[in-house]
Amino acid sequence: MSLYAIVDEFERQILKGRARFIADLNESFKDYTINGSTFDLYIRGQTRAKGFALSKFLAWTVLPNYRVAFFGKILRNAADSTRKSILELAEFIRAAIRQQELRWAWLVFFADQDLPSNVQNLVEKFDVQEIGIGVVNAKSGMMIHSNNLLGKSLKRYLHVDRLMSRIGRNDS
Amino acid sequence: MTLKRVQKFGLFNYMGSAIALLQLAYLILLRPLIHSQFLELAAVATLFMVGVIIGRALYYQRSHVVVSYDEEGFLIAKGSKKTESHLWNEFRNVSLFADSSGQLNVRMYFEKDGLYVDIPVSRAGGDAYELRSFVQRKLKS
Repeated sequence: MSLYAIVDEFERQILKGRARFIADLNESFKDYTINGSTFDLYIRGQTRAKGFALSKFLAWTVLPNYRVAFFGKILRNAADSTRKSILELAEFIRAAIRQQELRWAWLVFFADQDLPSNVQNLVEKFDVQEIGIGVVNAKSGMMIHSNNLLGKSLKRYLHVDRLMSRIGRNDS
Repeated sequence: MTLKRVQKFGLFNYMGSAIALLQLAYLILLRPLIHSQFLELAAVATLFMVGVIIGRALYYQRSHVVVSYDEEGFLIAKGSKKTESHLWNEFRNVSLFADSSGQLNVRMYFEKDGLYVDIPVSRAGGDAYELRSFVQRKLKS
């Protein structure tokens, strides 16, 4: 399955509510450009779920209404997968968080090979609180993520790893 | 291309409401006056049929969504009165928006993060992803 098809499947699953335990991500853009940088997938939403009747009332009274976003980027070549380019994008996301008054954001990279070990280390040790970084390897179906709360939530709440193995099963 | 799927939930909702109101009116106004069991049964059956017809008419008059689009633009008709039409070149950006009931709309922005129009593709029985791709190609050209 191509990286583009995986990004499409990601979008479908998130719009179906895959992230609902942590946020209601309900608006999705493809090839979205912010301040000159283009993301293959940009999904935004809020932490307060909509729901119906009782769940709506509970969400309204209990949950804070933070704006959050999910950025997805395909790593097309080796130049995209350097330490420098990853750090630049993370810095860019920090600026976008301030600009769009987001509470937090996920940044997920889609690659079709393992990243160099220094980049993997960078991702795993990334500790900016308001950004969760993940790297999905389309070939192996493995995912690495930053060790902060948002990075872990990619596995715990968005179940990105399970989604990858499901895509792999459907593909074979 | 024209998309016009009947929303079963919406249709049954209108029918159910019309039937319930008519049966309630019958219980309060007519039933005390009818003493024959046959007439009672006939009245209930007749009101049921009338409820179905009224509910269906109300659905098509108020809620039925039809989406038509071609290379130039699109038209959204909701019910028998409300219609909205636009050309693709009026818009600058497009997104997919999942509403509270999980139905997908193609959201057309007149300017980035500004005013927008929602095309209720899922409600009309179309594929929102397909229409979004089509629109993206139109906006890029």
